[in-house]
Amino acid sequence: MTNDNIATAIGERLRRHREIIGMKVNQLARQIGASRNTVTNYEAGKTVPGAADLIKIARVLGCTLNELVGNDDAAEQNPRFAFRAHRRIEKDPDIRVAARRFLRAYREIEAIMNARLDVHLPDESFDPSEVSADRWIPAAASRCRELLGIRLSGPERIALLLERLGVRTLFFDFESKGLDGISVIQGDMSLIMLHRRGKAVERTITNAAHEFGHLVLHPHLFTVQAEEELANGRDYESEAKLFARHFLVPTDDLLRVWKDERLAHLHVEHALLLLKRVFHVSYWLLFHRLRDEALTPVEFPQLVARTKRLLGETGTARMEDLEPQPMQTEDIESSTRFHRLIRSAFLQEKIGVAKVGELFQITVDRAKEITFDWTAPKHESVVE
Amino acid sequence: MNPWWNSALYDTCSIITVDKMLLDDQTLMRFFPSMATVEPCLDKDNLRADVAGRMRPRVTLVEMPVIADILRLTAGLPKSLSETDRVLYATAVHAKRPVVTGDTDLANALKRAKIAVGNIAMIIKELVHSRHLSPADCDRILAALDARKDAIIPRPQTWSRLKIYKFP
Repeated sequence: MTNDNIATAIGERLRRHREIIGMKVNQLARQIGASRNTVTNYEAGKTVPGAADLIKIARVLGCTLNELVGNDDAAEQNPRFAFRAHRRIEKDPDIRVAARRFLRAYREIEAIMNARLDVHLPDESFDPSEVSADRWIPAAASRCRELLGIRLSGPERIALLLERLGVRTLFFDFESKGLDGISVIQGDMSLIMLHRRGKAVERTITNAAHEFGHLVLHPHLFTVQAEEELANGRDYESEAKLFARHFLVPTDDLLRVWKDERLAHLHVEHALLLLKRVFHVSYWLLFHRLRDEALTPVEFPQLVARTKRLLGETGTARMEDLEPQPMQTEDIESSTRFHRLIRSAFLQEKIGVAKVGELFQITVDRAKEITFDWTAPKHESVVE
Repeated sequence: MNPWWNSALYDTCSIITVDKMLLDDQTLMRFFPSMATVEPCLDKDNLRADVAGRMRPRVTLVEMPVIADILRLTAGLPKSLSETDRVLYATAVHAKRPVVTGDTDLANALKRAKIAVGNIAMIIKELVHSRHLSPADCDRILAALDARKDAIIPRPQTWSRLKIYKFP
């Protein structure tokens, strides 16, 4: 191959990878600290990037050096991985890069640990012109619960439940307002990425169920035709919300508890706190379920005011600061299979600290601290 | 004193450890008068800004081989190595430079390529053996690293453990 041919081949691959994640030339240029012209020349095959620039480009585009310029065609086999998130955030290439890196990280850790997860995801898609969404979605949520064998317990173990269906789940840090969760399908791999909050576990559980709803109700959105589908006016977000509510709080159980425990006699905020003890989900999600089933006449703004009063909150508190009796499931964020595989690989000395950092998309400094805690777990004496 | 690690390339893990050692005792810098690395090891994805800020002036950047050489040299490396470690490997093999690394797989790969390799623990061990540090100094350094959540040998990190420790 001549130098010109090499330059052209690298340029084409560079452009293809950039387009996969929807990054503009000037965005890429800025991130690698080069001019727009430099990147344009690389892509046109006029100049060949040096090693330092190619390494930066691969990092920024979320691929390996070998995928970018070598013989590894892993990304080429599934170049059109689709993506679901809030529309505004969906356009953010940094999120696509993060998703792309995590998909690769998950593939790598599964290969290192020789632990492949088979997908058993049910297809509950439907045509709203043929069946009523209000009937179909609760029934679909119920079938999913049945498939997973869950009744009243354990939505806080949502990651484990999703993994049982072959849906890989992980928590990630990304500073972006309005980003709660992303679901991604690439080839045979389904991945739900949940925003790491550090608090308001209830909301995380809701988000996971919401993304799960997208995967089972709207598999057609994870295709290249998704743009057209999203423009058809159907409210996919509301459908996923409805699914999440019914998946986490099934109607028959809610009605039974409501009736058996005579909750209608309580102020709604106290009834919600008791229901929270049963369903282990967000106080606010439970309120929406009460509204769905016409069990309370209280409107949302009224409930916010009453809840603030109950909590002694004054001023403009954020919704997530208003979760009464928050759940104490600190371990939820580290309970994913992804996290366990990486920890196990590290403890088995199959990977080192730098690889832990790369897989989690954190700095090596942070990876050092995390792995240190893995080898020296916190403990306390039970003897008084 | 001109030990092997003075001409070595340091991986990110080792740069962080040296930084932590220097935070507790600046005089230890006399044992690391010359450190080198490749640019990706100091990248913001790998290193916190404060650490990079302190270590960048202390570290010399080495030019990486051309991309075709990097791909050729790293072709057979295991998936367990990070992208950054692969580039460090290629540079070390290409320039025939020793490497200080915290990664066992990288160290083994370098050993197979007949490149001298060690980690910070082995450097400290050599310093004790050559009487540049006392066992008590060594215990103090290891305890300080432990307090900073940096495990360079299996815990508990003490001289008596380090004495029998081997790497890779």
